[in-house]
Amino acid sequence: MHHKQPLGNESLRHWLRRFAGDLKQPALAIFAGLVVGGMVIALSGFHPLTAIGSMLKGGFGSAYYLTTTLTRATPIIFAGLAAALAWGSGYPSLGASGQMILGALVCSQAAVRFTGPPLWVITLSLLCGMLGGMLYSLLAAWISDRFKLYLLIVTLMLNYIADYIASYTTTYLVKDPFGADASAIQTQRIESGILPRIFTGYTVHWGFVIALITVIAILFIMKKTTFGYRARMGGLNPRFAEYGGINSRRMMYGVLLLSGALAGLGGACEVLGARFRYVDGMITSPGYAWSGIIASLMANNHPVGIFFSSIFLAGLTTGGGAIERSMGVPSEVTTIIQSVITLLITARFVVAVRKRHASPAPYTPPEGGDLHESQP
Amino acid sequence: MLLRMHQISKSYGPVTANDQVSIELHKGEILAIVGENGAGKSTLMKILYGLEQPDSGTICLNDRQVVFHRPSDAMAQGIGMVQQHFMLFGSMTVAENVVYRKETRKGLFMDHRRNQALVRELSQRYHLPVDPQAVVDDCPVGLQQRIEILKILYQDAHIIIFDEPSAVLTPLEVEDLLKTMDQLSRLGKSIILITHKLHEVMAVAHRVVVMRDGRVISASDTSETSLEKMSYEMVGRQIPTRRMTPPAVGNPLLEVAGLSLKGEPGTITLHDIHLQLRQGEIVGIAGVSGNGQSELIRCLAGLQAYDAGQVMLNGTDVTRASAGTIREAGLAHIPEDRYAWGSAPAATLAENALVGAEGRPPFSRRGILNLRQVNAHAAHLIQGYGVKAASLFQQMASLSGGNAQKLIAAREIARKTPVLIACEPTRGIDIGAMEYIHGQLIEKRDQGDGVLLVSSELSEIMDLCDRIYVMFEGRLNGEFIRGEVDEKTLGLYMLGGNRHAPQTALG
Repeated sequence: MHHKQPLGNESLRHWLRRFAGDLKQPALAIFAGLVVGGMVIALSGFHPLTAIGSMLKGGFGSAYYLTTTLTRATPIIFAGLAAALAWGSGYPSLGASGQMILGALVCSQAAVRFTGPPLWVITLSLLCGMLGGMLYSLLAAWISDRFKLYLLIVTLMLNYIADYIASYTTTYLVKDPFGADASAIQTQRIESGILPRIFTGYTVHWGFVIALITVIAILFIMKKTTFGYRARMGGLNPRFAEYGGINSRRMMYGVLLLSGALAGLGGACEVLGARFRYVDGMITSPGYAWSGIIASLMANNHPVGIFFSSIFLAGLTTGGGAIERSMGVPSEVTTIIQSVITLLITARFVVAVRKRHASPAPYTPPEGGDLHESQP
Repeated sequence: MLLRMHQISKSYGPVTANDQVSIELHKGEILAIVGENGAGKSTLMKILYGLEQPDSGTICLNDRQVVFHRPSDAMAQGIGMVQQHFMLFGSMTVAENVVYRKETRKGLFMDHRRNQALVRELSQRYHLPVDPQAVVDDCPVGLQQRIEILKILYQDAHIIIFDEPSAVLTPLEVEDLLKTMDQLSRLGKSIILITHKLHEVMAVAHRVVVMRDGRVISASDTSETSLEKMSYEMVGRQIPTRRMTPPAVGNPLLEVAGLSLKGEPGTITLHDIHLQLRQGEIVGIAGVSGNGQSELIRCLAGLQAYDAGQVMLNGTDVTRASAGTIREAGLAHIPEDRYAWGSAPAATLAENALVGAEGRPPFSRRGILNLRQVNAHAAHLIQGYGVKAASLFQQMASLSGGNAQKLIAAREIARKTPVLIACEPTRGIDIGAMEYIHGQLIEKRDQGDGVLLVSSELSEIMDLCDRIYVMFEGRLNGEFIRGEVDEKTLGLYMLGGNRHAPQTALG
């Protein structure tokens, strides 16, 4: 029973074909999203092609716009990776929002309290942020495990709790006493220990580089480690994983701890790189966590895909802001485009390309011969 | 000529599934199409049923050319298919399932009485007794298949395709099915039977087409061929008759004492199971499927918690241990359901070949996978067992059922553990692959390992097992030594014919 077969490493052609196949659905969804967005723009009395053109230009068209987009993409990448890890391993968590808030809050407090060389303060503060997100995710995992509750619901509810904890803390416990604007609900500004900008004059900071490194690290973990293998098998078929001897409980805690750490790191980078303090609502109002989930859906949980889909989604938002300023097109168009994309991606939108053959005349039963009624 | 498929060709990428295949079907005829997995039978039927489009070739019904874009086109022309996996609504009644999509209504509502009468009439006309008011989930598998057949007859099909219809049936149900096919052909229906069980072909078919590697090897009247000739044509070589040496039995490897499981209401409970497996023997668990074999094996493999009992594996107490611990202690397991438990259909072949071994060298060190070793191992299994695959990185789901089973069996046998549990290891696979897996099981036994073989195929049990337990309604109700029992006695025990205390054959 020996068959000679070309097995071994995957050929480049085969890989390219698979890659193109993977890109088909997100590409179609983006296209449909832009079409619907264009229709809305046209309905509100603007020229759709011009508007979408300036939108893309406003998102990616110049060094300034592009770096603004990359700044905005940074927390989305972290949230996307956190979501992808959890969902791809079969533990659907919506908790990135709460974990980012906790990560950002803890990091903001660590950074104003630690002293020493900036690199030292940055590292410690980032680690504290990771720890904050991790512990908050652990809480969700424990509640879900101990009381057999749906993780989806637990994480969703804990997001609200995290938001209120952060509001309370910033309002009553660690409110910035020195601020020029004393009414702002925010913590003290971090002086030393902020993440430097990559290019002077542009907002994009080293948090983006950390995000890029994290993408590669997660890619490595998922494809090249036993932990990643077990997590993926658990996500693809939990019974198969259990049969293979993979401890599903241990995997749940491992996956959710790592996912929480990623979200926490995302919140921490946003504090150290963009806001320099915790500002109430800084995670929830831009909707970083939700954009992250959309990004991971678009990329079908692939880390590199998430990197690009996050930048794309961030670009839509910056571009949406740009056309609102320059043309007066409502920036809600961005939300509409994002929603259409999300809908089409989650519906696993497939266009079946049918090969149409010329059909000959339809078959009619021969005269008098009602085959299926005949009795012997 | 009722149906002619002429010069049908179909390729999937580099794999040619059908190469200039032609078949003919006459009215009232039972045509069997036999061949190994991947021989192209299923592809040909998918084309006939409108699930796939041929690259070239034509289909003629009553000498008129037809094209089927989708199954509803084929159904409209009177072609029906009894699928391996039944397409039934489990919580609905038999009548509701049969008349689905062509139900009689009273205004907006179903006319239940009329529908039931229609089904009753249909069931009498074709001698297929059913209770139209019964709920499908309460019907045994054989009856569910009968409902599928009625569904197709209700759609006025005059050509009925049976795709591996006996794979899920008990021996008695198979006999009923063969009778049904015979009756249908006498009533003027034409039948295409896809199978690899040659004795069924000899029992019921008028003509037989043998396929291999996507081509038709022979087409002949059943009376002009023989089991030996067909199996030779299918495999392309002679199947050697198997001779087993007497077992060289050693120390106990697996000892189960007093295992009991109280399931949820309505599920099987296990009562006080005692069994033993020793080095150098193949021990069979015979029984009609659904008598607790699945539950017992899940308990032994650490996939199901049980209420009482002790399990010793290779000198280690593995009572209530986790699946991972039990694997480490020396158990490999070919599960009975290849997609629910045995594989992750959406994962690649390489990933599926790794499970259970990912944590140890040479496949990983300190948590880092060695992908070169992982892929080499998968390629080795695929080539060694003749799994028909195009790439290591294709999805498991893209393999045919038999090839998926081969890969799972290969993975578990290659682990070289002292104990192997093989559940229905050859269900739904062809003679060549079956012979190969049987050979591997015997080789494992001859090397001094123990094999626990669970099978509802009596012939498999009789051929391979040194010792046989019979399982009925959650109990082991008999134990026999090879050569001291015939199929008839085993069959009697399998149906619970013997209710007294278990005999023991171990000295």
